[in-house]
Amino acid sequence: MKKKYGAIILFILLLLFWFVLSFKVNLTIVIIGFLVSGTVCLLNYDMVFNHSEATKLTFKTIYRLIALFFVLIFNIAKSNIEVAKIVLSKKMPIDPGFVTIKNPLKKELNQALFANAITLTPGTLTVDMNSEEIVVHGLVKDSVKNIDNSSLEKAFIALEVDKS
Amino acid sequence: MSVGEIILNIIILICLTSGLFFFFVGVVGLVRMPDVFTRMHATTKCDTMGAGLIFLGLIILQGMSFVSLNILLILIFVWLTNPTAAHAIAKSAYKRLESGLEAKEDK
Repeated sequence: MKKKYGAIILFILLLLFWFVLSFKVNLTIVIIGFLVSGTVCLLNYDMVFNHSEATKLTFKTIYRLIALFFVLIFNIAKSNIEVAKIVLSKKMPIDPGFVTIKNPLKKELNQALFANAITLTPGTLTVDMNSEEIVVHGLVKDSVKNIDNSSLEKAFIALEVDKS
Repeated sequence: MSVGEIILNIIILICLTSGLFFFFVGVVGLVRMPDVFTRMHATTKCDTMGAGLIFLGLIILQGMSFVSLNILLILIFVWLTNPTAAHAIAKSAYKRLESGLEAKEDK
């Protein structure tokens, strides 16, 4: 039952996306849109993420999601400039290596988001992860240790705590 | 041209040139870095910032319209697929390193 619910949401999202991409609306475009997004839903509806994993949308969580977004943008900009400095400096002071850090999150969806956020911020790259630890490759090893207790991690933990 | 338009054009120019600058840094990093992982740092990451700034400049240039919405969608998809692809490459390189296939090539 829950999965059907997810499939319908996926269908509506796909259809909306199709209409945004195709500028105008006429009969051919509508028929093609319904056919294609229907087929995609039919083939993939068992891959729609688990509904119990999703964070409930209340005003508090929306506020936290927006805060998370801005923290992420700020982190991307800051560490991008750091990497640019390293690349353009004459000596290239790099100290690459793998660092294992503890996985602070419990839900799978949040873990995936956190791993991708680590990859998105330059200088750190998620290589492998399981439910207890994340293997991160750092351009400078010390910068990986800063992920613990960073503003990014705190924003994710705040998102998780709110549900329970 | 009014003063407002000139200021807007200057902002667009700053966005586009700094976006290009980050792409340039990515390419320089690709050439200078020693191995797979460090090269990935330079290229895939500077693309997030470079593409973000260039698309931001284009959105300001276009103003509020349907085209800006499409550009925003492209930006979101670039930012979604970039870390995923980087992770796929990194994981395969890591597995190779663990199994000892790469050890001899390095020396």
